[in-house]
Amino acid sequence: MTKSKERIAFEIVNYLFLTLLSITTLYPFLNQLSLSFSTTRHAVTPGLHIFPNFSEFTLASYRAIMRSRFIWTGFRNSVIRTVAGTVLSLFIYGLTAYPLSKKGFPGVKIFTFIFVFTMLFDGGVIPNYLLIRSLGLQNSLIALIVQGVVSAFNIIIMRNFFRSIPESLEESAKLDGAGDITIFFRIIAPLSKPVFATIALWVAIWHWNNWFDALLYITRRDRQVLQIILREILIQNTGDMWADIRTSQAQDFQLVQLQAAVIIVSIVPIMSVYPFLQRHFIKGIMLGSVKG
Amino acid sequence: MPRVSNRLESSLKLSRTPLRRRNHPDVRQAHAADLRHRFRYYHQMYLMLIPGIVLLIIFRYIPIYGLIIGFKDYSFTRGILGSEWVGLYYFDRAFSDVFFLRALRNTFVISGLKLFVGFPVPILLALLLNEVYHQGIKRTFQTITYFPYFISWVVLSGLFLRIFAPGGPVNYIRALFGAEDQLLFFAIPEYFLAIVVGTDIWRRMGYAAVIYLAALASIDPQLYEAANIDGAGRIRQSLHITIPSLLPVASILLILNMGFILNAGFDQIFNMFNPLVLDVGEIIDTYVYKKGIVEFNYSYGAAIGFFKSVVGLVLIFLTNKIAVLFGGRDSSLW
Repeated sequence: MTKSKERIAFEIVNYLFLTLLSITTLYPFLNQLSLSFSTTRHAVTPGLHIFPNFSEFTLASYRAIMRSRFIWTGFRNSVIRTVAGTVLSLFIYGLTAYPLSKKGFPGVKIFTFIFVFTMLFDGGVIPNYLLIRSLGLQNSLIALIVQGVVSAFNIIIMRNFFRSIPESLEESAKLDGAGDITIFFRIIAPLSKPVFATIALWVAIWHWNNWFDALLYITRRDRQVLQIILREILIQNTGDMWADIRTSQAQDFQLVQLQAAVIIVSIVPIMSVYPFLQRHFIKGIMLGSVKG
Repeated sequence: MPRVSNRLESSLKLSRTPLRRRNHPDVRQAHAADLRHRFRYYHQMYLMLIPGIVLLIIFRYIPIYGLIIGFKDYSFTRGILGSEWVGLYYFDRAFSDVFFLRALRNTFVISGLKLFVGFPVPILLALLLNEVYHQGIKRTFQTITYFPYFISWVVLSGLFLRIFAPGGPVNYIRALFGAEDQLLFFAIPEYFLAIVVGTDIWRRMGYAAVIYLAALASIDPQLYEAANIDGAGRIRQSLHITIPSLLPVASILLILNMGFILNAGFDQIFNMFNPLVLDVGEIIDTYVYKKGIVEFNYSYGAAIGFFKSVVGLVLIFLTNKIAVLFGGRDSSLW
């Protein structure tokens, strides 16, 4: 197939434009990556700082972060919240979505409605805050783990997937005397691995990135999640956060490099699941657009 | 095996019996028998629903019930039930509170800008990506452009505070072009708004383009072949085939997004704003946080929250109706 001159010109412009767009998207991250490896002298020189300067390369800021007590506990709390929150959510989603996927199940419309209604109308910040307080869950990771555990949106997505499984499989199991609960765990759940994987990734990223509930419910620093610690370091510049990092022999780094290193460290977990994300990401959006 | 499936099938058919025939005694009897049968057939399902329903009631419906403190003078010691009713006092107060009205206005301005400025960006991105025939290169561009979507606003705000800071890269570029001062971009209202809108569009464009790319992929290639034979060039093909086939998806997404106009992006703004730009940056959600949580005025915060939820609900129904009007049943949210 021969291409016309206009077509070739268009493709060149298109590639150039998309490359430029990709560079501007990546630039802020590259900039911080480069700063995080820089010595103070290099970091305070004005410039674009796209690539680390290898003659002034240092790991000092990463070493400082590694010694920070707050960052480590924050990291640990975030991991606990993410893992526990994701496992619990998937369990509840599956258990709830299965009955809702059966059109002949008496009451299915009412049950679906009471779930969907919470997507359209919610109590908002204040009543949720008062609820957690009166349950005595303040300063408990449980308050964070239960967030999102009854997401109607994810339940509906899962329900739609269950509907696509042929019913004949379940009927033969029923004839053999299996109950719905057995059927769900033995037949339906193993067949639904792709949808569980997709939703698990979404829920995990949501938990990892969520910070507002922690801001509301957690006041003790040793129970705090990473995002709030990051907030204090990157946005509020809280003094004792610096004291904590600085106690570890501050010779050759300043705020700029430390903050850059903190940004990079917080992105690493997302980067490490990114290959999986990519595989399931588009599938996830498409699942979301199927209604029923 | 066929026995169960036949019974199930007949019961499903029965439940679709037209209403006027349901009143016939035979039909009613059969219907009751069918319902009993379905109850028995699915009885374990009720057990499975229990955990979800209990959690739903505790963490979703109790807070909705808790909104009644917006109509009461809530005190923590007396609890929700014991607090005194004050009727619409807090709603009256909200609408004579210039700071609330300012937050309301800012919410519409920021949401509106994000919606209408940001609307064409993912469409353009999808159109350009669609012209990249090399699958590997296309995927690379896509992977890069939707990467920011997975990073929290805490980190992204920290990132941009640094990029736009005095001594940062943006001021460096300005200096290259001869500027002698260093601008505090986040402290200047116009720049603050531009950064809020711009970075939000930047964060979401790759993600939003995925939906349009799917719409592009579903266009029948025969249309292009026919256009080729008729001698239509690339541009005419885009104008007459590509863009018209994106229009339904685009207009419906636009309409449906208008239903969420009261959400101006709390996560982003709360991490980006500062006292110097309150006049353009304070939105409903940040105001609720300030009044309710910081100043302990729970009833006032709940009243504003209630107002927001109700208006949100009405907007969603309204925009959904409009979407159906424009795009037919298929474009409904439910």
